[in-house]
Amino acid sequence: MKYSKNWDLKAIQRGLGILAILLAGWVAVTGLLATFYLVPSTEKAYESIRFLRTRVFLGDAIVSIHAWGAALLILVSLLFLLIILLRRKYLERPKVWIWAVLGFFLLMNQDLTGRILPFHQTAYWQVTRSLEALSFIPVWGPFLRWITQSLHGITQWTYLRFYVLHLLILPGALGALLWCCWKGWAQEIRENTFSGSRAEVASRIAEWALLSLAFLATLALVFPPRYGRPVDVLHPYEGAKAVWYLVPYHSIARFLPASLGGGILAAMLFTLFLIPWIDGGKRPTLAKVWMIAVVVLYGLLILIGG
Amino acid sequence: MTRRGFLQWLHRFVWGAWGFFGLILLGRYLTPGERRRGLLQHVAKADEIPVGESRLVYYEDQPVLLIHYKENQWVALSAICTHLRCGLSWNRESERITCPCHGATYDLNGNVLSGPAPRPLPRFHPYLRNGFIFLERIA
Ligand code: HEM
Ligand code: FES
Repeated sequence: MKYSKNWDLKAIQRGLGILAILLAGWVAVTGLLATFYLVPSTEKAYESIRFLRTRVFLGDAIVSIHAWGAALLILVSLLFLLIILLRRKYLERPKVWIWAVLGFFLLMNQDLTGRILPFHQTAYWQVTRSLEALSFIPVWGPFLRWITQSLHGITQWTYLRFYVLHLLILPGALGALLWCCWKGWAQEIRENTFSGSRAEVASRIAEWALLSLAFLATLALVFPPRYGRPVDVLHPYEGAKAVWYLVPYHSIARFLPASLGGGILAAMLFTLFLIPWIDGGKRPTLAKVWMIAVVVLYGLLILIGG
Repeated sequence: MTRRGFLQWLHRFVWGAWGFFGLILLGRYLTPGERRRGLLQHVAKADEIPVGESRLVYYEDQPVLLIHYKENQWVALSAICTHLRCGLSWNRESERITCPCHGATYDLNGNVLSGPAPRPLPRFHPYLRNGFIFLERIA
């Protein structure tokens, strides 16, 4: 096999694609299993998750695998997108790029809406700070705050809407996207990654699926996710922060008026969405510099913290 | 414009208008606040709170400070500081609402008197009926 830099990135990207699909599968399965126990009420959710995690056979493993699977899925998807950017693959298939970015955006919302569900102190305040950060994002912020009825803070109305979004609407939208727009892509990844007869391919995929489950289970056992105290709406804990991808909207408020900073940041991210047309193949260096600048700035703002 | 062209146009227009109004209906369905305005919620028994005292009550999960500041005079304000959302308390001596976290103070109208709070406190209408206090959200 001849070594070439291009080939490497391509292989990595395919591997990440497969990994993302497997992780999404496990997250969906464990999420579905958790729904048998979660009571979607601000009064009962905490106790129900506690029951699930302490009394139900494998309950803690299910919850932990869901949380770890979600975190890794986001990491893998992020790397996948970054590699597409680096390879400038979006030029060949601008449409697929649009769907991919839209999918990542939906995934972020899936993550955010999941965070409130265990309804412990840390979750409550993390989501409260996240909703504050969201209020600085034009268009999407007001929309999400309206659709989740969270203007007066997190109430039963908000909880139920997060629940419906997390369990029904967003998975539905992501599933539809997967079905209509990435089917061909997934097919191609699979065909180029595994070769052999149907049965061979199936057994390789099964092997990978089991391996990823074993890895998730190990992570879940060694580092179970936080298991907070009950919510205390009167006492924020010291240093409560928004979820990482919303932290920049708080940190930029140190330098600019919050809504202005939020608008600028959101607009910069939006240019990544439009990059196939901005790049256009004419000024590759400029496009690359811009992309890297946006990603680095966002990363720096996360590090600075709100 | 031919008859056919016109019908086609009409067809699209009707579907479009229908979709648009459908969205408006859906939007209103998803906004319970509109209907909830004027909704009274029972939160306390009046004789349990002596004059000068206050109590923390809940209006749809929202913590509210119910203050009996003079004989039969009640005030109800959100009990959550508009700075970083710490729980507030009523200070009888200074007749102020104070925040334990970074020291914001508010008056009985919910206006900010000092400290880092960016906005006044949301207010509620207290009603006394048959010895019970009911609250209604304002706006
Ligand atoms: C595919 C993307 C998904 C992501 C990124 C995601 C993310 C999350 C996160 C971060 C939590 C909070 C976990 C914790 O803090 O302990 C959570 C909880 C939950 N999710 Fe998901 N989720 C996804 C899909 C699903 C699906 C498809 C379902 C069900 C149909 C589901 C059902 C649940 C339930 C019931 C909980 C609450 C119980 C728990 O804490 O595990 N999730 N999710
Ligand atoms: S939270 Fe009340 S002053 Fe900061």
